[in-house]
Amino acid sequence: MEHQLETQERIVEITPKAERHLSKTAGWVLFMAIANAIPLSAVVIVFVAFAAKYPIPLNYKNVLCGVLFLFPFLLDVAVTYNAFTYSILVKKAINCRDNSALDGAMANKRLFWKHLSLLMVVSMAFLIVVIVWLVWYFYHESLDIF
Amino acid sequence: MELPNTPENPVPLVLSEAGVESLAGAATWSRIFAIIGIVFLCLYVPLMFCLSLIMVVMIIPPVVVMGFYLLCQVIILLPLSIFPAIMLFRHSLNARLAADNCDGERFERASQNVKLLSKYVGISLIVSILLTVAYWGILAWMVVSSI
Repeated sequence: MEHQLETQERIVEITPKAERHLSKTAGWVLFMAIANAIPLSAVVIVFVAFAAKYPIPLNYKNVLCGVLFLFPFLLDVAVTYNAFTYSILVKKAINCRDNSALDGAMANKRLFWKHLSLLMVVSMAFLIVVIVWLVWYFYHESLDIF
Repeated sequence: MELPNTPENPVPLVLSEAGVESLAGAATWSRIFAIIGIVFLCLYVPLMFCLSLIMVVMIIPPVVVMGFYLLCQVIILLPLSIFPAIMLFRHSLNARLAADNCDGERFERASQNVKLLSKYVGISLIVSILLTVAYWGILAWMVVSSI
């Protein structure tokens, strides 16, 4: 019995109703991915235009700022890419009855949540830095006033 | 040979073992994201609320407009963020059960949760875009009228 359970293939059959839910989700996810890709592209264009006009010197401070900016930016790019791929693979799986595309969609879904969690942790770290800085700033300002 | 997909004889879609493992991983990460997201909201909302109130009471017009914009973002988007958080918890629970028990019905519920989640996040995104457009419109109008 145990052996039978071990050798039994673990599969999930998708019901027609679940397919409809997946299809609608793919539509919304595609919309959000496009909405996220527009500001990301705008940031790249503005940065390239700025760097072309005013060359940024490569010193320790600028490189550190660049890395701090690049990390969340790349995470956001990864999230957008995963969302695009997820929606396209779900649509492909449903329209072409392709099971491997559905597996790919699930793998992308896992990566999407993973990258989004990391992005949220990074954003929270930035937010905490901002809060600490604001508290420190106002504390010193109030000391100057008195 | 692949069978044609007809309404009389629909070809069932099946999630293979690799897909089931990915589903379980997605359930775990979505649970982690839900917890982090709630902590983030607890930090972000009070900060933004205080910041926007400070900006609203300032006399400088562009700062007041920005304060109102941030206040609207916080007030309108907060209820739209709570519902997706609940849906995300339910999704992670259903997806985990679907992966563990290879249950198609649980998967159906999980996909329904994620559909509602994406719908509400999409709506809040539309509201956010409209607010941003209105904010930039008001700023542009202020600049034009001051010239």
